[in-house]
Parts: sequence; C-alpha cells; structure tokens
Amino acid sequence: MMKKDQPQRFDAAEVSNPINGCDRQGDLMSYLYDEASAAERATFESHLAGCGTCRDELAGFRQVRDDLGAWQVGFAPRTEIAISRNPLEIFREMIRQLPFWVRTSGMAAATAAALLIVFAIAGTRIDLRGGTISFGLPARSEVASVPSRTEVSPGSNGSAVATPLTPADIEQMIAERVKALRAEDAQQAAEIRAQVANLSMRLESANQSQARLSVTINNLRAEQRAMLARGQSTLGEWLFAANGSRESGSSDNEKDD
Amino acid sequence: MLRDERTLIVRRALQAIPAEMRQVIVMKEYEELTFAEIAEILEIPVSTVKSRLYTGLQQLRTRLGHLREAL
Repeated sequence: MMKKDQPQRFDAAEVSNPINGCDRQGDLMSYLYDEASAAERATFESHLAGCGTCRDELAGFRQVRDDLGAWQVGFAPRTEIAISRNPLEIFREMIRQLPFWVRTSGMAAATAAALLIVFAIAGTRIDLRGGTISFGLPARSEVASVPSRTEVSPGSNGSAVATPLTPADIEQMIAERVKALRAEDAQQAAEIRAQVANLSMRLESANQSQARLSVTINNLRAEQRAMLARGQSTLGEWLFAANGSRESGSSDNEKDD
Repeated sequence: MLRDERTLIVRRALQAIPAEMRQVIVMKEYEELTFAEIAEILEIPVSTVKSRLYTGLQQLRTRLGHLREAL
C-alpha cells in the first residue's frame, strides 16, 4: 500500500473503496484505461505487486472490457471529425501537386541566365531558333570561322546575307531570353497566387462547415446524454432497438464464426 | 461461447446497471473519450467520473459472471 502523500497520486478526491480495503481505485481506473503518466504507471505497478485486491480487480475489469469490446455497438452517435490542415500545409500540398517545371521555374530562370553568360564567354554555340535553346561545343571549323547569323536585307529582294554574330549580339539575345523567362515566371507566380486565393476561400468554407458540424455533434451528444439520463427502461429501448434487428439478422452468420 | 451469446450477455448486463454508470461506461468504452472529456461534458469532477466508472465496472463484472452461469 502506498502512502497517501506521495507526489505520484493523481487526485486528492480520488475514488476510495474502504470495503475492499484499498483506496487506489482512481489510480486503477487511470492505469486500466492507459491514462496514467509513466511515473504514475510505475508507482501503481509497484502498488500492484503488493495488493491482491487491485490485482484481482484489474484482471476482472480487463475481462469486462474484453466483453464490452465484443459488442460493437452502433447506437451511439459517434462522429469522427477530420481536422482540416492549416493553410501552410495546404499550400505546400498544392505546390507538391504542381508540375515540376512550375515548381522550379524561379530557379530555372536564374540558372539559365547564368549558364547563357558562361557559355557566351566560353564561346559555346548557342542556338535560339524554334523557340528553344540548344547548346553545343563549337566545332574546330566553327571556331576558326566566326559563327554567323542570317539577316534579310530589304534592298536585296529577300536574298539572305550572312553577317558575323558579335559578342554584343549574343549579349542582346541573352538579355531578351532572360526577359522572356522572367515574364513567364511572373505569369506563373500570378497563376499560383490565384490558386492560393481560391484555396483560401475553400479553406474558409471548410472551416465554416466544420463549425456547423461541431454544433450538430454537440447537439447529438446532448441528446444522447438526455436519453441516458431518462432512466433504465427508456435507455434500454433506445440502446437495443436500433441494434436488435441488425444483430438478429446477422446471428446466423455469427454462429458460424 | 458463441459471439451472439456473448453479445446478449453484455447487453443484458449493461441494461441492468444504473443509468449514470452506464452513461460513463458508454462514453469511455464506445466513444473513447478521456476522463477529462467525460468530466467536461457531464460537468462533474474527474474523480466522480472514475468513481462511476469503477462502480459500473464492478457491477458489470458481477452481472456478467452471473449471466454466464445462467446461460
């Protein structure tokens, strides 16, 4: 038997049972339903080692709980609420759902600009035709003969005239491409902001629905408590009326188990 | 013992104990509420929740034993 002034005791007004000669029933309940802290559990286990009454009751109550678990009631208005995640989690989930190229577009633009400059300095061939960028190491012949670009001269009846591609031209092309990429980034950022705003509205709507559900659940629980408080006969009708038909209908199958 | 027989015994035992104890047992066993939650809902101290639960389980234990013998 543990002393009453031990710090591990749970509640000064705990249950007592002088008939059985032990006053640890409150601790027993906490232990039985796994609501005791680690220290409380250790203390009570020490108590159990020397208290046959509590050992017997613990074993008996576990058997009762096992019996109660055999009856899977469907009468109680038990409702599980899925707690909505916070906006940051939703935003992260949304980002994860976006295509890879969208997620990485900001980095891609900066990286592309840096690579263009590096390649230009290194003399790497840069091809901007067809709306795509392609890179390649210049062939020895290309290094020997300066790369050229094709321009249309108005005064030559549409005939093509080849002119050398100067470093200034390359820088201009790079600047234009970087500008275009930044414009794409801005457009994608605007789309993401619009999606976030839409999700925020949906989140607010979900929160309102959750609040309404909570009110409904509280009402149902209040109704349940009221029915439970009406007394045994009324409760009995309520408890078993909803289950009688179902259980009787399934009893044939259960006997086979 | 068949499952429906066991179910019948549990139903009868639950039906026979006082309502306030059955109420706490239902909230604890089937709604899986904590002692604190039950105390808050019923507006009673946690110690009273434990007391009712303890007494209810004691009565259920006795009644379940008798009903098993009867069957």
